[in-house]
Amino acid sequence: MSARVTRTVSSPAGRSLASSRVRGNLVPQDKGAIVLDIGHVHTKLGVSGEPAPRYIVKSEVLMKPYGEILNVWDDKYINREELYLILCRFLHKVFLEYLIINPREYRIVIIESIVSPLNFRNTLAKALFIHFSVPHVCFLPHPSACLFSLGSSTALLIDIGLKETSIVPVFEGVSLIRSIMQTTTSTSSLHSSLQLLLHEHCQVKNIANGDIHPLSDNKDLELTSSTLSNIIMQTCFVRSLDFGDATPPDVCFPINAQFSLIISGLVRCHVADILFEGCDGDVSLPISLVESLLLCPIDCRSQLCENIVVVGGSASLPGLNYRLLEEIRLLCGNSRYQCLDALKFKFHELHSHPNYTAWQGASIIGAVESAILERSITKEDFKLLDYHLPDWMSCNSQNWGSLQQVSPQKIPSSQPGKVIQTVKSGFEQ
Amino acid sequence: MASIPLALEYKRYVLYLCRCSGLVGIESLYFCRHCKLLRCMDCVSVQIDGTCISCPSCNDSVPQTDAKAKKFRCTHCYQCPMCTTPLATRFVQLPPPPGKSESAPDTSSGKTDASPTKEGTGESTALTPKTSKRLSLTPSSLKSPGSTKMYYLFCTSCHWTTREVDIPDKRSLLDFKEKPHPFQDRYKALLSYYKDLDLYERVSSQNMSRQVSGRKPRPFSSLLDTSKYKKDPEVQRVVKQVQSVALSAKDPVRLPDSYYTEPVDVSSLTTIQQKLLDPSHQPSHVKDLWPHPLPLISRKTIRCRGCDHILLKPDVNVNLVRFKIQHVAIQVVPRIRLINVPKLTLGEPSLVPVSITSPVSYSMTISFNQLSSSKKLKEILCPAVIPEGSFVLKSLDDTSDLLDDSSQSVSLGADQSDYVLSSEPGRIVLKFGAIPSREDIDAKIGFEVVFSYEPLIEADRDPGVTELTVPVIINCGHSFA
Ligand SMILES: [Zn+2]
Ligand SMILES: [Zn+2]
Ligand SMILES: [Zn+2]
Ligand SMILES: [Zn+2]
Repeated sequence: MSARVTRTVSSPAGRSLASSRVRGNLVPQDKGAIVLDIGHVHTKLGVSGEPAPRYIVKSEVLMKPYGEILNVWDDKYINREELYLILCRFLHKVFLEYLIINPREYRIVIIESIVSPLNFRNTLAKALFIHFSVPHVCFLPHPSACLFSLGSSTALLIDIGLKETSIVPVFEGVSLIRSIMQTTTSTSSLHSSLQLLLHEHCQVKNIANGDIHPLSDNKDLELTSSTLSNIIMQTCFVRSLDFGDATPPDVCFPINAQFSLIISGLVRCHVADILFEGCDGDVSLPISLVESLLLCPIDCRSQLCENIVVVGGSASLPGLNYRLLEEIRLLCGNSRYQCLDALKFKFHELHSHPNYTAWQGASIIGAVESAILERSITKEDFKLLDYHLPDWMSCNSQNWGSLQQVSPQKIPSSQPGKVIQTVKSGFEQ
Repeated sequence: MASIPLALEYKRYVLYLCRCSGLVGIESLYFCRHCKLLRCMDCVSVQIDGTCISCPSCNDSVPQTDAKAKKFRCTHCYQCPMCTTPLATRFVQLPPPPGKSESAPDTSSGKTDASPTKEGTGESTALTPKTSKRLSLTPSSLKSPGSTKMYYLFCTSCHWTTREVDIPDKRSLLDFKEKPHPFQDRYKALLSYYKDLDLYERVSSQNMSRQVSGRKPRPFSSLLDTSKYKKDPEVQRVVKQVQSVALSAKDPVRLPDSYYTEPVDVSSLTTIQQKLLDPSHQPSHVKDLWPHPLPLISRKTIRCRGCDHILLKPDVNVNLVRFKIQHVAIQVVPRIRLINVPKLTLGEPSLVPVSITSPVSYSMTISFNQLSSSKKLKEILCPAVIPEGSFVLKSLDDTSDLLDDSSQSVSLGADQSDYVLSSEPGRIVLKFGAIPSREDIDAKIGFEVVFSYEPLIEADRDPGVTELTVPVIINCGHSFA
């Protein structure tokens, strides 16, 4: 299928250009790129040109010789110098224990979230360039990475993270930054909702003697976040509104050798409701989605709605997309969203599991050597920048810059960007 | 890079302060003979030793190129998808195909094997493929050339087997191949699509940018934006083809009613950890689990970041735990130990007994200085009382000791004996002091140890460097009298 393009472009000029670029660079033979997506819970790590990461591991590192396990995003260290050491040790584990490669022989592609803290990016770059002396690092924005994996240039991206969900509309390859919506309704809201519901409705069964008592009586039974995510993934699903009040059967969930939880059917189908109600005063997923659409130029909306993509660990909850559509349809009845009523909402089927969609896209583009090298920052660049990345790295600043140049002609009646806060306040009544 | 506060939050009695201001135990310190410097794990450069890649289960050494092709996983060892234990291999003797069946009766050996298809048990259960290979050479199996062995995998820890999930027995261990990625074809199509787009963009922009000098790097969005190819029907067709798959977005499917009616058996579902062991498939049911090839491990070569000399090089033989080159601090630095956790008195000098052991074969002169370090560290430490003057530690194997008239193994100045609690060849116990200022936190003292250094190799001898210094921090706890 690609033969035609190859024929068109494999003119002598094209060949010489491609080869001269390769010759001019420090990496003589293409070994591929190491692709890293350092998430809040799990890190996806692998090599470009492969459809799935080699490992998905916890973003944690054991701080030898003191013996504490630290998450690389630990709030305590995120803005401190110690982050450098934590990241060095973590990357050491990634490169030398899991991937078994010498990082200085590869180019590195890092998927970065649109909200990653400045100190984290800087420290990560420092660790890669100084501690591991890698030649090139490319910071690939998460939305672009997801689109590469789809092979599409337009999508309305919903990324459900641990602490935040972001809705990013991407039109013809350009992220519409003015229309990005963020809400704290995310995986951690699911966890807190589950914990609450469990304490209200669930009972603990003592496996040895068969005693059953409410969970709220059992104070010392601690539910770790990994137990909570397992309960959600194994027993819960997203109820669709048209099912009415049907209650699924209870499920027995063993917690340890002594106790198992009897998870009531009510909890199983209602835990995900939090995503559609909003959490901690922040807006729900469907509202942030339609709000984001309202902020998009009218001409883009129909294409965006027909290309909704849900990614992130919690995106694999059964029934999520269906309920999302139901809720959006309900909202369209509201006078504020009347203008969206005529639109068709369609959801993409991913060619990956939703927890590594971005990684897969980065792995595709990481294999296109010239494209990555052109958009990478080198060790020398980093030195010239006095070991501080610009707010958005060269490739990204171009991205944002180009948006401003392109948008006036391409996007006709761009609405003035609204601060997310004002939207939120509008919804508190 | 200052990791001091982080490190001091943990309890470890004696830590050495590296020049990179990391605090480490002595076992993580390396010594570069060329720079005459001590370096910790965080300020050396660690590299994969391509000659020392091996499988932790069968101990086979794997050449780097082979390992790379197999994504650094063993070709014939597998990991349990339930609990990650290396799987044991078991086999079944199948009778030879009919026609040459004269040897059929003695195909199976062993006490329990009554029928030819009986499973290999006991002796024929091999923990590693290596032993099973050895077993296959036993006389009984040689006697039955027509019979075939069928392998299956078994977890000795959680008893999961490949039969449990209906994976048929295989003729060879190599046949438990990984399943391909479910969307491999789509992935490959996208890969070549973006390669083409990049090349096309490169060529067309080269034609354009002849006039414009100083071309800036394009953003990633330029690769995604296909609207600019509208004028080019050839490219447009390819773009359409790829996007037609992408644009097949659908209405989401309503969950089947079974979700509301069917009971759920948690034991038949995989946990998130089990799913993530296989990123490509992430099976959610136990019945879909598949054995994973076992990840290989590698030994590392450690080099000095200053001069690139090798500090640690492992032996090529992966079965031997030894090193070709090993320059570590325990070979030259006196070992400092806290004899017991001292009883402290607030605001007064409290006795801290510290033992110092010399690892070298020459007489080591040792003295102590107050720590001349950063403010940050001083805030954490409390004032220390340190022994004055220098002490000479004679080596353990120094026989001159026996010939010498003086039985004293440590030479002391006149007023120095006050500091000494006990002494023997190569070891001395000295009195240090701590003046704790707070009762709620651990009292920590810091001092510099200055010790003499004589290189073993003549070439390394440098008249300028005869002594080395290493700062030590001792955590005296907070048990107050
Ligand atoms: Zn160091
Ligand atoms: Zn092996
Ligand atoms: Zn097992
Ligand atoms: Zn050196």
